[in-house]
Amino acid sequence: MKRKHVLEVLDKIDDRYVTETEKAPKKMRKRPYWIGAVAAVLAVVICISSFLNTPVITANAIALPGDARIMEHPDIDDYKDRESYLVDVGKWDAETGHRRTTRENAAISLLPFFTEASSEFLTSQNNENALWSPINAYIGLAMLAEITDGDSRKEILDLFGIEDIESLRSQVSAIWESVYEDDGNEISTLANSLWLKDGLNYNQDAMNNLAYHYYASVYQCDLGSDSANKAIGNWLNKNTGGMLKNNTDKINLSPDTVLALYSTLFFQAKWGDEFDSKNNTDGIFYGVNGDTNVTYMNKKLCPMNYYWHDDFSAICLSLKNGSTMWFILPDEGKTTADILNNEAYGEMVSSSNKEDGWKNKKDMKVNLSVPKFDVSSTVNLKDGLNKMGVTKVFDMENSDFTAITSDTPVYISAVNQSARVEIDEKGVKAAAYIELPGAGAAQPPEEIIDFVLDRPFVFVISKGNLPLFTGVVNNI
Amino acid sequence: MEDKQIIKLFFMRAEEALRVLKERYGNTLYRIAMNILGNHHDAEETTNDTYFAIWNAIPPKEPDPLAPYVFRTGRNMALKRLEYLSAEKRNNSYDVSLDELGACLPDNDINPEQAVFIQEIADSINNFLEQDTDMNRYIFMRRYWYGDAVEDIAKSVNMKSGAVSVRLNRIRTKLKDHLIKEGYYYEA
Repeated sequence: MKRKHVLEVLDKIDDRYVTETEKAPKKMRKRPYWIGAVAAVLAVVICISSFLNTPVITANAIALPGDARIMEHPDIDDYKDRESYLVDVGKWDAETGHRRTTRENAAISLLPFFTEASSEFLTSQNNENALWSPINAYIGLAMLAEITDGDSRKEILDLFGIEDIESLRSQVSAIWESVYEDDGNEISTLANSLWLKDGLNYNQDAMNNLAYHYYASVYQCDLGSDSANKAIGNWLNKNTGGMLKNNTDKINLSPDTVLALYSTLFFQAKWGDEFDSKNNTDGIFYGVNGDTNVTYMNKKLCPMNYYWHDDFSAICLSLKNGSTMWFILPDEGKTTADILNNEAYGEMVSSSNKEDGWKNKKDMKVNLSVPKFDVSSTVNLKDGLNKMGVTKVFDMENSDFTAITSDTPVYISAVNQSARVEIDEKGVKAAAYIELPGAGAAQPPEEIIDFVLDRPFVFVISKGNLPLFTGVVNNI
Repeated sequence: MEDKQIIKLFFMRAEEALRVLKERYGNTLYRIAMNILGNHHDAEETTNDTYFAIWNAIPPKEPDPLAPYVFRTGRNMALKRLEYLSAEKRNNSYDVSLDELGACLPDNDINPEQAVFIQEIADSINNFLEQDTDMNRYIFMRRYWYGDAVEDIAKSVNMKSGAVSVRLNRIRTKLKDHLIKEGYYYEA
């Protein structure tokens, strides 16, 4: 047919199709999968501007944390009379409730930090996978606030929106205690440590505060030596289930490091409802760097809440330890960066378990397809923290570490966080460590929906409303 | 703002109507014009002409829905300008998409009742689109009605360009089969 007539035919195409083309349709999706494991390590390396000449010795423990101050639920068999049992149950209720309230309030007050920082750290990794642990970074930075003073401390408190160090301490303790869990199967453990250079004068009260409020271990050794690097690597491996061995084996602090702060989070949990490997399918993941063949874990007609927003849709899978993993898929035409730059997803994650929480959700039957993945990344947090107003601790001229030592000048040379998340049919496994070294939309119309994570997506693993891990999977 | 409110502003002869129209539909109008004319200057002028044409048409017209009316007006204005422009500007990318589609539609030169025939083919294509998937319909419309480049369509649906081209090819083959089945094709 000639062009002229083709144009005439096209002019008579139904209005409906002209209108509906304004918005791209949801892609047809395959079936679902689920998560495995996560780990993160935040490392802060603190240096001094001059060398300290001290002999090499093995690490000495200066302060060690006690057991978690978590009250066990009273066992009726331990009581002779019902009255005293009920009194203790009341105490347990009150303490658990107090901890939950503190944690929930902390999560709300920290939401701006979590959202802004996630956007900052995860979107700066170009097209690579990126993940980090907001809670791990928070604890690491809180410890940094504890060992600094003056404006150095104030900048960190301001970042968290917290008035004073006492409030921070009680918040950290509550978070630590509410996240902590280890029955050998379901694991969710935070661990913190501070490493001091031999010969550094330190304030014992500050060390005791770290051990008590932050459950931190403090050691003194010849930082920068092979033995010290090995000791730190061993400590990190132990606290991250060996998940980050590739990173921890490379610990190599420079000889002018005077303080090194490590915070870890290791997380392992089974899915509330495991995937059946018999339902796995092979398929393509349309990654940013190209298409790859991956294995999809699938669930059919699985009843769950389906969440949506102008820019994304999401589902949330439960884990046996009461945590949840969110999968957030950008709408057509949107990118993972669009999600991370919008605070809506953070609000969804932090408010979903409340009655007056996220409005745009609907109980639906979901045909879910989740790719099996094992992603890891190391994120340098220094530049992002600078942008968010934390500058003094990195500045040799203006840093203030007088809360811990009168030796000066001490400053932070690097803040790195390594994290890894692995998911499979059984569940999630994850680890993170932070290292801080110092030198010196529209409602879904139907009841059944396909949710297929076959292109870049965002995930969040949270406990209650606290985000433990947030990541972007751009490629598998 | 709802389309009904935009129409109301036109009826009140409030210039705010043009601002809202531009905000709501300006990007798409420009895209359509650019796809057809392949030139920023012409596309810009056509888009502005379209606002003016709509300002003159409403009232008395009260199009409901508004969107397809606006896009059709813009498309027709762009096609008119294309016709007016000199011959060397022809064979742009929009013509390529028209030729793609034209190749799978029956030639009606010998049909004495051309207008009826055009309407019948259009009805048949509408039926065909109705039965196809949302994704195929979207890709078809973007390519042939809006004249979008394959790369842009691919981006909007998060697919590779090659995948969109293959899909378009399949849609055209299916469309031709459909038209044959409906009796519009009489090949030698």
